[in-house]
Amino acid sequence: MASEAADIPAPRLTGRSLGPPLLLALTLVLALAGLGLGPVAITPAEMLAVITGHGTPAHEAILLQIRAPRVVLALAAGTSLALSGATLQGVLRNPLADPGLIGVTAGAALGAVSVIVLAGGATALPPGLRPYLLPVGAFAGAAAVTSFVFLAARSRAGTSVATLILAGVAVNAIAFAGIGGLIYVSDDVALRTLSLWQMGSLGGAGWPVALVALGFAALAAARFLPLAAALDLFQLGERAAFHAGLDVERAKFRAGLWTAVATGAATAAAGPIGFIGLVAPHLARLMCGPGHRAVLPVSALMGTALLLLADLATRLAVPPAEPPIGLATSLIGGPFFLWLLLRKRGAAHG
Amino acid sequence: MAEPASLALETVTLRLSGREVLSAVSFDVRPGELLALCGPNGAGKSSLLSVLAGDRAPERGAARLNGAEITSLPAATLARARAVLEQSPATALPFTAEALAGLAIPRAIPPAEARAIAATALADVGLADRARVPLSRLSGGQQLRAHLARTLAQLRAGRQLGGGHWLLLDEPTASLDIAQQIATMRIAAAEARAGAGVVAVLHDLNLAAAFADRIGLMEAGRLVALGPPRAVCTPSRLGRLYATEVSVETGPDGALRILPHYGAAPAPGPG
Repeated sequence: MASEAADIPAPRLTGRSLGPPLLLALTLVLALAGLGLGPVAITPAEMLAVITGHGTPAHEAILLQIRAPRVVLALAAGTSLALSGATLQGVLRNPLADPGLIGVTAGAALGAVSVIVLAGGATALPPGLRPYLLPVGAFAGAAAVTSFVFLAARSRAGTSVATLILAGVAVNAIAFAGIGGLIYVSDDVALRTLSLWQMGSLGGAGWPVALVALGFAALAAARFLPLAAALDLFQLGERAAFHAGLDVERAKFRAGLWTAVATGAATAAAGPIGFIGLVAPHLARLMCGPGHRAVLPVSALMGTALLLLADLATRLAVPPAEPPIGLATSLIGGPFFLWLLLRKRGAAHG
Repeated sequence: MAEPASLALETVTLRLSGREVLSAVSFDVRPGELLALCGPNGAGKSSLLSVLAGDRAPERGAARLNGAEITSLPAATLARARAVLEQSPATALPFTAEALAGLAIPRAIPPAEARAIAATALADVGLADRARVPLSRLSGGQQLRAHLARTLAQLRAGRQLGGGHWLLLDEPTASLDIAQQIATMRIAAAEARAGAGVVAVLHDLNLAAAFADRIGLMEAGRLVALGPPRAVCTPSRLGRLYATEVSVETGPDGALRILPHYGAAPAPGPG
């Protein structure tokens, strides 16, 4: 295990040390905007009125039943996806490892779709059970893909970016073929649930789904954060990490398990959302350097902020219609991914 | 310590993808000595070091740390007993030299003390003024020295926790200029004087002869000679081992001068 000294920056007043507090403030502003903005605007004063019990019934319903669970789900999914991405990038020593790109999200989606279709449509389930069964299916799918990726990464001395991404292409293709097959055999009820879910949205969720997702996110975060020292050691390579005292296999197992739980829970609740796990850790590293003791919490905050922003963008773009949130995250994440790839290529040639 | 620390190989044989890379190698590393492992490329020096480090379990024979099979010990226990500098070490993310130096210090060491150990190690390798610089902006030689600082910090932290007995260095002087090679060997010798058993894989026979207490010569997976530099480094043995004519002299400082005959016809080799 690494020392505390590894990541404690010396006290100095630079942009770096101011970054996280500013990010926290920005996230709070975005959360407020998420509560206030939409087809019906609610001012902070009106929010206060609702909280103190003096609000109009309409405001109360919109705020407490529609927008609040939405913001909570952004927190849960943003944290889960960003921490999964940061952890995968750390364990695999690969800056392009992202739950979406390497197929973990697709595995989770296949698991979730299996539950929806094979359980005879989510509406056929006891309503109280759905928030739990869907994450279980998603977790199983995500866990299967994560184990595959870790096994594939084990056989070589450090996976190349190309191997990992190409394996992700293959896994994504297999998962989507499975999803396609399930859609083909599903009945009308399941089909409707499925197509709504598959677009990816924070809006469809009520309190039960949001709270279950938040619970899983909190559980996973509590398991991810103590991995910071191990993730730092992984940067030396697995053999050197072992030399420095890390039980490499156990650390990999934990990282993989909680990545599957977090990605599974986020995907079950909000549908497949890409690129948050790629972009958030990169921005966090730009803000506070490579040490994971800072990168993990800042990534979680960054993921939440990005997802709140994407949700606002989809909600305000063409009201009252709501494009899928995955569209917005891909619109930010796609170009970012290309930039990373090209920058890497430039570095390799220069 | 109740009993003296020991690190020993007993007729170790190791196979890697079908090829026997170590054949019945036996020796003890002694506390307080600097042991240099030399020999031609592919002789098994790094494989030997990886068995000592616990990376690989021997196929036959045994590698023992304080009497216990090395690969049966938990990583954290091993890390307190020994520190390893890997061949061409690298990091995937640009830590600062300071962060890298502190990376392998166990958490049992209080933070303030850990920072002091890391700072001392960085100063020892001559990087005190580069502490806050990311590795990506250091030269290759400086990066290697920063990794050496990481290894030294782990060893010294281990010593504070009742371990820190063994230091394993795989080509610690590769990519360093001559001044830095000497500085690095002095650090290794100082750790030996402080009580650690130091094993260093070296290609430069002159460095090995100048600093090592014993030299182990390896050839095709076997330890063919082990002893003080003067006893091991004879012109006939080195000439045969490297298939290159070599002369051995004593320099004005008393150290051996081992000089290959540039351009001379190769001496009759073993094969």
